[in-house]
Amino acid sequence: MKAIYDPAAKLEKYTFFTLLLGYAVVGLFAHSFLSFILIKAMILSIFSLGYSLLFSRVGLLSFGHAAFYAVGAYAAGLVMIHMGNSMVLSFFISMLAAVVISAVIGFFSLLRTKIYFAMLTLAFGMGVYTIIWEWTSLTGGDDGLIGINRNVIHLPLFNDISLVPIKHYYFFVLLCLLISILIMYYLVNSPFGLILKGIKQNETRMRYGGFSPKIFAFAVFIISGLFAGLSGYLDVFLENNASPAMAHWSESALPIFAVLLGGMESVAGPLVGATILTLIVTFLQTVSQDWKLWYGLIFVFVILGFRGGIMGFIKNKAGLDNE
Amino acid sequence: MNESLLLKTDRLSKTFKGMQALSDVNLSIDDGGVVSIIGPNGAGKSTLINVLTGLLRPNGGRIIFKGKNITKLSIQKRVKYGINRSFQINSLFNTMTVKENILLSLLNGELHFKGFFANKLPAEIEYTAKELIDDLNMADKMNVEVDKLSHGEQRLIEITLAIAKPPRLLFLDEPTSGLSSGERDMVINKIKKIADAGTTVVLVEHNMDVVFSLARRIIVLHRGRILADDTPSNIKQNPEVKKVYLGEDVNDA
Repeated sequence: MKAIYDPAAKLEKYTFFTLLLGYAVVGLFAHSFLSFILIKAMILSIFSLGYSLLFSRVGLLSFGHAAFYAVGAYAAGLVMIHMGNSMVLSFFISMLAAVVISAVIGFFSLLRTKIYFAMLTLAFGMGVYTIIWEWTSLTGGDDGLIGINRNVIHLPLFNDISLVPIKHYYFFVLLCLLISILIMYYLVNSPFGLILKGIKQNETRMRYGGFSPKIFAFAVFIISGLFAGLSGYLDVFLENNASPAMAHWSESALPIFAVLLGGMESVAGPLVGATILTLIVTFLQTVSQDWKLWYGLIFVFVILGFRGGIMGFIKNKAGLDNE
Repeated sequence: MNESLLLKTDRLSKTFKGMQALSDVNLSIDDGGVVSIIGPNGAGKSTLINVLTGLLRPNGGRIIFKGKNITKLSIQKRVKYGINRSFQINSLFNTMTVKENILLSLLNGELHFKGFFANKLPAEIEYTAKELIDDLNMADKMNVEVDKLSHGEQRLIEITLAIAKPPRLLFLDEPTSGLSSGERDMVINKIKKIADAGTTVVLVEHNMDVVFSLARRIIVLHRGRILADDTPSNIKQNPEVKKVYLGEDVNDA
């Protein structure tokens, strides 16, 4: 597909490139606290990238994605604890769990549209939260799963790769981010991406083209659930534990804010937003007890003042705004 | 069953909040040519198209297309059976380019899994898109977003989107509204071409010149009922139609 012909698309590409290069360079020299924060930022970036496909491309607002994030984390943790400590096996089980749960929740939530859809995702998400909280024998209840440590990945034909040092893990997460971006870029520019754009712009006309918008929304819901699951998987090995708070609906608000901050219309927006959001929150937490107040004020400011987010603002200044 | 019968309705009715938009409409459309539906504003013409193509569900009655009962089918299913439409108010992908608009209307909802995630569209789709764009005379504008085009150009794209995958039965909802006379002639020629290619066209139109230059048969709708259904020359003579159209009974219009 041809989406590369306009300068706005070029700007997106440069933004991806600059941010990834920035992560790589800073990662080489960062001490462990900064590494930890930046890994958090990359994990939120992956979460937000997947989320933006549903939120920005299809136009559906979900408050339930924290559930998939938590399911990804808990599935990985449970495999590590009960099924032989393999990060590779836990990866596959974790992805499978995220796909299954997002397919089930997506199927029922998509029976309704708009605000009713959002409320259903909220209800299902809080259902998962409650199950994690109450099913103490499996999930550890409010203690969560603890002591989930990174270890060595054994691959055939390759040297063993140890992910134990945080620096190694940093670059592993960066690799996951790179792959996520490539997948997302490919999806958005494929016929599938064109169809999503069409559905968002004019659903009725797409139906007269023979398309069933619901099936596409369902596919996107699962893809975004998968990305959420991946970020949960990566987070559990960073934090060394999984806690029920991961499934709380307020976790679902993070990618929403990241996407809005970065710019809804932009492919690179979620990455920009997630990176800046993580840095802002970290900064606010270190300087103020009332950080949530400042955080809220920034949110209000962005929504009221920068409807296109940071990328929209840059495009506007560079005269690339199509609107 | 009549071999040439394409679409038939049986006591079709639709109400909006107690207002009877269609009442007991028994319509039959034979295969081939252009059939025109006319009637004063509020006669139920657009509602009829919406019900027949699946955008609205009727409150009663049946719709039979090629011998199959399609009354409860989704828009998508009806499209697959060969029914399509254009809209009275342009319904395009506004911030997408001409080419993207055409491509989207060529893609098939059943494009197989591999096709969705390929980095390219199938060559035949690109080829057909090029043909349709050339046909529109818009080769130089194919990368322009459609909301930047003139109303007339948008109107032509509106029709093209409905015929990109040639339907068996095409409903055109006032295709010439808001057009200059030159543009109107282009649309008339376009409709002739569509009908000659084997698509049966149901034309809802206000402009009588357009109707009389195309239609082999005219159906007059008035207050949700079929008032007359005849050849153009007979319709011209029909006293009831004259009454409705000349506004002798103003309160009716």
